[in-house]
Amino acid sequence: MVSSLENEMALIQAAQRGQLEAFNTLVLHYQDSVYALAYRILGETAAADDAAQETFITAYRHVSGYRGGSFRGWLFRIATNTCYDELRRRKRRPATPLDELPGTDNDDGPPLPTNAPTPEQAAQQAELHRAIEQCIQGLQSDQRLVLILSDVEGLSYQEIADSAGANLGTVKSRLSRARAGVRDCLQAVQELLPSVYRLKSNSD
Amino acid sequence: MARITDFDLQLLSDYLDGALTETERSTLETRLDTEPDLQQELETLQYTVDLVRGLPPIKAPRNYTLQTRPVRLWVFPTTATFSAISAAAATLLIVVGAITLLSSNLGAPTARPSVQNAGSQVALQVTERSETNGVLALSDTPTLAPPLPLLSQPAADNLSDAAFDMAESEEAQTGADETSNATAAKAAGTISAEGVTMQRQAQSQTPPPSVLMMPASPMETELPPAAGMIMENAATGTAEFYFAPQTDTFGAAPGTAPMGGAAEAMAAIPTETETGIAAAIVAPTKTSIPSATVTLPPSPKAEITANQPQQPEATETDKPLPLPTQSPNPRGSASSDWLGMGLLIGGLALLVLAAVTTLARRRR
Repeated sequence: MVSSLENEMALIQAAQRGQLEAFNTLVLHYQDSVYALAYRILGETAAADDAAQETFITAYRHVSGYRGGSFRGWLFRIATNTCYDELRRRKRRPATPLDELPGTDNDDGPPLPTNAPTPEQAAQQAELHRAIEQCIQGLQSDQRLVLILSDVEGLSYQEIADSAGANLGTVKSRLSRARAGVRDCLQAVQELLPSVYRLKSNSD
Repeated sequence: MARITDFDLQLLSDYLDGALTETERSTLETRLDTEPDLQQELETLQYTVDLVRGLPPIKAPRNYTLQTRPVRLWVFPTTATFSAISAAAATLLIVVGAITLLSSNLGAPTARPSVQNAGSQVALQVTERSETNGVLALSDTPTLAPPLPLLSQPAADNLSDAAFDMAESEEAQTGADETSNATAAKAAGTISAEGVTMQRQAQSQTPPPSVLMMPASPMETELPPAAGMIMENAATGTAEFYFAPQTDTFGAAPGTAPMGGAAEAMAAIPTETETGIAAAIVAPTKTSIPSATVTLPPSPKAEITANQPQQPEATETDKPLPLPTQSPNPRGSASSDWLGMGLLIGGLALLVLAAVTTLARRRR
């Protein structure tokens, strides 16, 4: 979760006046979140890289139209639209393979933190994270977006509603379904999960 | 085991986020105490949320700071609207261009009949005018005017033959007795051209030298051209003249001329000099000779044979006669052709543009 800048509004106003340095300060602050969002929506690094760059270019062009509210939510909305455009383009070209999904042989996913205490624990953690990412990727796009914005990026319901262009009730419904979907998906890798998952699975 | 509904699932999710009201939260907590399945559902969801929230942050592989202000480049429009507008404009241009071309091309055939008739009507018109006015020249007639067909060398030779033959006709002799110095002419002859015999009568009065002019004017007479070409035989001389005007000029396309055969169109211009020179011109389209002018001097008698092209009595001159020479394919028609072709080409170009933009949009 990215904390807000103290002088965020001043930077935004400076960017609206055309100051490129002020806008670049905002870029540096939000670029990881934007890239992570793009990566989790698109599922591959190259497309996420392009989407993130396109997001900031689009944001600079339209920053004069920003009328307050959560700048992060506004930025995420641009990123979401950019990623959805890419997904629609892929849908028109179904032959394009998604060969860079996390966990595949040719892609180990984004760089993971190296604070694992032991190599065995690190490997287990990495495997769990990879499984979670795959389960998130398996969600429907609208549910995936809400889950990422809520549980990964920490946006509030209202910010999610603004970013996703949906009302609060829809956001809540999608979020509950997304969480249940990820849970059901993770039950397939019970050996990576704590006993509560195994108990749920055994009880079934 | 109580089944967990979607409503319960959303209640649990909102409970985890602290989004329930106080009443909803207390009611749910009561249920959680009495329903172990609901409690287990809550635990699994809580752990799932913790797992997702515990995902390591993903760092961007590079900085996305802007080095320069992005310049919006003009992007070629490939929207569906652009393609539709292009296709509509292309269709419109093609239709208009086709109409322009068709109207231009259809305009010429409509004019051709009158032009075709011109050649065949010449004989009649000359006859009538000669009878009424005694004037040979048809150059005073208003014309839609194909180029003036003037006699070439062979045509002039043949014309001289005709003049000679006609001079021997009784009508010509009679006319010669009536007038002197070729001020009146009356001639009748039978003209055989390519197996087609035309009989005609003609009277004319013309001052010397007798200039045989092939009127290019399509004189608008009410007489049927084919019927008017065939007249009663009152002549004694027979001449075969291959006047050879341009086909378009006289409209003597094979099969369309009223006389049929090779002698499709003809014009008979009688002259009578003091010695009774009569001339007849038959104008088939054997060759394409643009123009020829034949001047018949007021010689007493033109001794012309087909083997003697150069006759002192009948000389030729290349000087064209000042006859109206309005083109059957006027400049307006040509410009219409160009306009139509331009519209068609523009329409096709727009059609290609629409197709390209459509393909580009689909490739994206």
